[in-house]
Amino acid sequence: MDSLAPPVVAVVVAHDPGPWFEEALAALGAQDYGELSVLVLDAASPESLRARVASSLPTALFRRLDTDPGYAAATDEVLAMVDGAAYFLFCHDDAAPLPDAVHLLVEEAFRSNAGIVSPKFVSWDDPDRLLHVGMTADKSGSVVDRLQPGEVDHGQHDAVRDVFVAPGGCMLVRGDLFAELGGFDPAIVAMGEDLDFCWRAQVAGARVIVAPDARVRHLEELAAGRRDLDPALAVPAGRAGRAGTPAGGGDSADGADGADGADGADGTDGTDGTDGTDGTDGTDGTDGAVAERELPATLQELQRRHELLAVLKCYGPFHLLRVLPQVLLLSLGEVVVAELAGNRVRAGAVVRAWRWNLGRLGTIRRQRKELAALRRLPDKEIRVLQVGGSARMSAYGRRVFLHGFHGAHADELEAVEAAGAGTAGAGALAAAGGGPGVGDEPVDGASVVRGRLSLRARLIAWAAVAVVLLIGTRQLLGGALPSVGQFSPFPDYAATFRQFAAGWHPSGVGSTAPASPAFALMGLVGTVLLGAMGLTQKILVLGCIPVGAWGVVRLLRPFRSPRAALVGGVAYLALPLAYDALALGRWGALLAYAGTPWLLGHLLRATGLAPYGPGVGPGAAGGRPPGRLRRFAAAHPDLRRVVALGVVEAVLVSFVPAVAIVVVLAAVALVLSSVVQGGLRPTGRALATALGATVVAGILCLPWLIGVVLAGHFAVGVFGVATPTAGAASWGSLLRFSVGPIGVSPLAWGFAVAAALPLLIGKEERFHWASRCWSVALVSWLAAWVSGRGWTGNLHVDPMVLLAPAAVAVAVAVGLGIAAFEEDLRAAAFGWRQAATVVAAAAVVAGALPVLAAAAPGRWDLPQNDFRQTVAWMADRVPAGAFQVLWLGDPRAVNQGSWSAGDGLAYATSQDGAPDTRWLWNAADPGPAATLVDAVNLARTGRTDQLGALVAPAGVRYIAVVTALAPVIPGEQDPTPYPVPADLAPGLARQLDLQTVLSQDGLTVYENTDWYPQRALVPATSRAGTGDTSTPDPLFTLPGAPVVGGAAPVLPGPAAATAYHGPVAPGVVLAAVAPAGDWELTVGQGPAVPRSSSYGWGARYRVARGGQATLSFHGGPWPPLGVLWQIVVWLAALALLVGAAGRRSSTGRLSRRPRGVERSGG
Amino acid sequence: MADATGTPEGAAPVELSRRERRARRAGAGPTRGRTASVVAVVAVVAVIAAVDAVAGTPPAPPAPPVLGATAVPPADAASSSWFCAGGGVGPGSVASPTVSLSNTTDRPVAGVMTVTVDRGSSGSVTMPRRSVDVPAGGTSLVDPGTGAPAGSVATTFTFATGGVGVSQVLSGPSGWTTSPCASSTSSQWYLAAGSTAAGATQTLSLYNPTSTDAAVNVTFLTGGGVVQPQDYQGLVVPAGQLVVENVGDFVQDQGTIATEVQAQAGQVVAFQLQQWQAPPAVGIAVLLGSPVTGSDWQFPQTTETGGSAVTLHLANPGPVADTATIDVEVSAISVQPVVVPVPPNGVADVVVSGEPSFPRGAPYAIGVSGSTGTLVVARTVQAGPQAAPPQWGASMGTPFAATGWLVPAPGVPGDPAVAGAAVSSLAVANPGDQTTRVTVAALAGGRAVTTLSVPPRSLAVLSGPGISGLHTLIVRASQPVAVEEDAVPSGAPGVVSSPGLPLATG
Repeated sequence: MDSLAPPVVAVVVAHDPGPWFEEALAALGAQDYGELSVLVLDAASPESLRARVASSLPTALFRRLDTDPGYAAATDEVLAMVDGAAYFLFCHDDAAPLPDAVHLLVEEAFRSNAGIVSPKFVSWDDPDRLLHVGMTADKSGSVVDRLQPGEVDHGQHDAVRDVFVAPGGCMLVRGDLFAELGGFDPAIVAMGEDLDFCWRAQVAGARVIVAPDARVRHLEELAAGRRDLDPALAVPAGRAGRAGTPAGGGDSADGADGADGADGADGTDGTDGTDGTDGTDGTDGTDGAVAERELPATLQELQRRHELLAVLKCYGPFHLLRVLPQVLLLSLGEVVVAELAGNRVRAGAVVRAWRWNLGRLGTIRRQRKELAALRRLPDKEIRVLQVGGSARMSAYGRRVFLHGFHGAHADELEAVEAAGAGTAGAGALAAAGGGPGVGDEPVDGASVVRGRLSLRARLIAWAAVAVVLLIGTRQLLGGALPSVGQFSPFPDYAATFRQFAAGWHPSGVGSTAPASPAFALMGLVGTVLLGAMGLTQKILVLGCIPVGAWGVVRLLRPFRSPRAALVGGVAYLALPLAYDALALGRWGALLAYAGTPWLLGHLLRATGLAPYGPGVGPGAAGGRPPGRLRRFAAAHPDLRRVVALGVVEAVLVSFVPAVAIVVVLAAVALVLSSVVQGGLRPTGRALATALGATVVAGILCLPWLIGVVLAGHFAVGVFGVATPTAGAASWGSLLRFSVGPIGVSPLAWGFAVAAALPLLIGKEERFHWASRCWSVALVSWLAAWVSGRGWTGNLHVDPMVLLAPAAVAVAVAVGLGIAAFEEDLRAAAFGWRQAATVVAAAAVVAGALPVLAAAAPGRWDLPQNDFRQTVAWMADRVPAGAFQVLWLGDPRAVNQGSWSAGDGLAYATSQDGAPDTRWLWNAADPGPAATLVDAVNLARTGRTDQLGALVAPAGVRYIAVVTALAPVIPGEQDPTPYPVPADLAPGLARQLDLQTVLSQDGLTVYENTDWYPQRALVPATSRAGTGDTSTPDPLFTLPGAPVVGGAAPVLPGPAAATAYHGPVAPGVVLAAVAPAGDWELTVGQGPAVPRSSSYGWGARYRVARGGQATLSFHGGPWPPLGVLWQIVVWLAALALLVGAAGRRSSTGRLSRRPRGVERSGG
Repeated sequence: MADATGTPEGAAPVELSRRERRARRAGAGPTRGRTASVVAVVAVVAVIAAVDAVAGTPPAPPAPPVLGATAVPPADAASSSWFCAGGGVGPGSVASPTVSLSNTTDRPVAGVMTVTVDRGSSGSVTMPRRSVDVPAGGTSLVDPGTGAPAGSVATTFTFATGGVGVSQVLSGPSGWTTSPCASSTSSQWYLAAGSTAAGATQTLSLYNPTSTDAAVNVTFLTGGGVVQPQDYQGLVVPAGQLVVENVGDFVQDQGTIATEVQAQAGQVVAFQLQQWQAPPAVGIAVLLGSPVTGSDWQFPQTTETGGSAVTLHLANPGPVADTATIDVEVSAISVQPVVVPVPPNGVADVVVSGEPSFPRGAPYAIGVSGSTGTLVVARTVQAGPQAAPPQWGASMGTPFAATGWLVPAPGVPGDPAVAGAAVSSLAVANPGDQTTRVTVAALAGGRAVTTLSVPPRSLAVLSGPGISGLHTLIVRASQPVAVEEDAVPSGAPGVVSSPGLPLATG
């Protein structure tokens, strides 16, 4: 051995190792490298390892740590303990290098000038079997091993090469590099410290190579599940601190494949990160989504969170901005697929990985800064060693291809089941990621009855459904959605936030009514999607369909029939309701379609009736002591349930206020069902929950609610605007859900027919719930029927929104029919019941045919062209001064929120052209904008022939009358017509100051020849400049001349802004903004210009000296206070739910047979 | 141990009901509430279905009544305007206008008058706006020509309220005539009873009181076919201006001409001035076009006396042939209707005074019903050869009925628009199927003059104190009626006659 060889210190971190430890030490002792020292760090093993070390390797240095800080942190101790080491050889306690390994590694380090050198890992028991020869990763940090599982070593990988990751089981690291990087990240207690370290090393300019001539046997005890993961190990940082490390170090990246999940083919390990401690409720997605993890993380979760941590730390800003959304999308997709597979373990791991990292952004930011100071290589050079695409997705695809959907998830699910059944040993529990007591409650995936419908069959079925949906929606996937109905384009995400917080809304002529929280929610989604608001709109619109079906599937899961859940979900998708809503641009109805299954889910659980029941009570063994919030949540389960429903309701109500009515109606229907089914008390609980949730939703949306209530008699208009009763859907149409252009066929009766099946053949809970579903459906249908006929007074709710509970109920009933067929006819002799089942099945198939047929064109009859394109020319008119467009038409045709003008006519305004989504949720009270409809009604009744003059003070330049959903283009599109009252067109035609500038089928646009700009400078000597008048005087208004002579546009700016700037000459500035008292004009640095009234509600400012002026809105303290309130209460509600979910995850989940629940029959 | 039936040994066999046994055989045990559930569902569905069927689909709200272009706006209107044209001012004028403003409200109304004079090749001149005042419940006479240069004249009256009705009296060498003014513009107008035969002059006045230019196409329907003069296609009527065209320049020697004005852009008001200058037909008539075609036209008062000739001029601007049925509506008299085919884009004349079954010497109402809804009907009356001037007159029919009418007089008491002018009779025709209660009141003071019942499809002709003279009248009826006044001096009843102005109730 060369005496000038650089000194190498082998560092072995051990924690209560098994019998292999001595062999590992002996292997180090047998190295032929003379300058090798061995340091054993005993990470607070229960029994000191001193004796074992002394007996196996007497020359080794030994140090015992008082506590177990985790593998990475323990290893980092060498920075303080060792001085002068040229290299460190970090070894797990189950790694045994062959005698020449160290000197080969050092040689290669010198030869290649590498910072990190990895040996070839072979199986402990069979050294001819390869484990790892260096590893790589994809852009998301997912580690990839290029070896085939169990691959025999024929020297096929024996080339020195650069790799992205040196597996952590044994790696040679240059001493100065280790010090410069500050060692391993101590936050990584197990799984992934090697990825993180190697990545950072490369950022710092170091090479990471593999030297295959150096071989190391590796047992991979932890990753193989033969060794427990210390439950205290992975408690979220800041809660319990670091405690304990897997003896010998966690199998880090080398366990990646396993953590990747359910790869039965790779055979690398059995860890396949299963997690029996999924913190989400099997029947409560909302709760689950926000659940805080209570229990120690699983290997899979550790792997996922540390991968994400590496991504967040190691990329430069540009690449991070580019890659992170992709990682997020992949994560979302993985969660969805995992959920569909019933693999809550995987879904939970992904969700919690994000949550863990988002919870320590401050630390990550600091680490990024430190790493940036060391950066020598740009990301693009580092990424050369990464694999393209998504390694995880590719691997998953291979697994699905090889083993089918079931096989791809089977091992994870089985591990959980095994953990749940308590039949697995400690190792299995560790593999499942379960802590003590966790196995008491199986996850949903385990609660279903298996074998009746294989996952493969379900996958095929869902894939077919997805194909149909994709075919039916294919033309909507590209480009922008047409602006029809409530599908108005989203503004940029910042504008939505501004609209939420501004305290002023541009609807009508302006209002200070607080904005709907929908703006903030839209902005949040848009922010997550990096400002891609078109994509945001599509997700929020088109995503409603699968989300609704998913909700129905979950509603049926407790009945333990995969086939029933499948059929119910498909039936929900096959109902024409969603596609009619899409075709007619009824976003509200789509949202109700998506949300109602989830709302009903909460209500059904609130009843406590089987199979919907509360989770088992507290007291499961092994849970950590609950925090204060969790204790509170545990002590008030009803409150938790109410808050959970309230949060969901608040989200939906923000977009569709009528959902509040839907919730209460559904609960009332459940109570009504008790007349026949009994169970008044349980259903009463549901009603109480619904009412309580509505109160909670009101609290969450309190500022908006206050604004609505203060609107007085206009308040009820927030639920909807009156539509013409002529042509209201008949009772039969409602029963068939034929309320639009899709599915208009007698075949649609099929669903109602099929839904009757469980009433006829069902037993026990299947019958009882079928009966209750029918009660919900009937109440929903009745409400829609009554509302459509205008028998609800001033309360007008879109019948399509009211139909959502009926659709859910019918779909669930269809599913219950299947469940009844499986359970209740199993022992029955053949008879009419079986025949009825066949009829019902045929009815469902027949009912789905109209929707199937409607899928062919590819856009669900949604028009291609919209009025936004038709009036695009209006934007060119803006230089002449900002203006308003007054839209008149059926509220279903007006492309924004509107107010009733009577007789089924609605009115609304937009600025400088067609509206966007900011005009979708108008203030309930139109305020001074009511003068516009008063003027229109004067015209309709022959009481004025100078309508233009009357609406000119509001800056109305165009009056657009909409008589169809979209432009009628013969041969191309024939949208749904929405006639306006017969007196409107003649009334407008006789106006002397209106000029028809566009007339086509569906839209007529009149130009107001009397208009003047919304912000205009007029001579001080003009009539409008010298005195106030409440309305323009027709005796002084010549048709064709502006109401205010000499008006010139000033203070330009975008629509819906709250501040306008520009030069202003001496004169009088008229501003058509309300409330005028909240708008202030300043010129130069001077004080606010005195204001007086203009035409009763506008602002008039007399400018004595010209200059640069600013007209801005000052809403006082209420808008920020309102925003603050909403932030606080939403966070509080979410925190309560998170606490509750955490509590639930520690105390159990819905059991296969919930204990202590009441019988469904009441 | 259990026996073969599953009953535990030693236990007494359980008596099962027939239903339970049947259910057990079928494998489905009895489930409590099944029958009730099914019955409840079926009952609710059936009951609502029955109610739905009985209630039917909610109908569309009825369209508001069409009151033509002469409706008096409601008193609470925010603004209203009236447009008069057809006459001329200056020494050579054949029809000098006097405008009558009648205020149906109980408060004075102030307005402004804008006079536009078409000076031919010199273009239009708009005179300075003048204020006009109409006393509460009273009538004002205005001479638009005051201070205006010679030429054809059009006038706009603008009020900051409603309740004012406006009509005009035109007088000249050939006699005098009266006509309602227009309270609204329109993009199409239909006129009938024009003629360019020898001795006849027909002019068309197109007035655009709006703020935007109008471009119109003018089409003439004659006995010889359709005439579309090139110069009248895309004829521009500038905003606020009057264009007067001599029809005879392009349509010569046609005994019956119907005119159709279609605006490609903008809106106008169309008047037709027909003048007969040579005996035996001397007279003038100014007709306000109808903005709509229709299937039912009313002429409340027709009287054939002293050898006069009454002719109905039917025009069909539609593309489909129409079959018009001319019926006489007189109480207790049954008259065989006359059926007249009207060709598409054509005209047809019917001399009703020549119909042997039609009454003579007594007033009767004429109802003309078309089959396609595209009829336009006017009536001309030619007085006997010895009659006093004017001997010829014309009036448009009324295509609607109303429950309220303003009947302006040709002047105010003590100040006739034309020397000796006065209302001689008022006819109220009930075209409906129900008896209507009619009250006739004087505008001034609102004093009821008479109250009467008019049977279905009958006519009431009123005259005498309170009716005859220069009283502006208000007619209110419990069912829609049609109203027409006849004025003197004239050669025969109907020569100077005019329908009333319907009161819009809003």
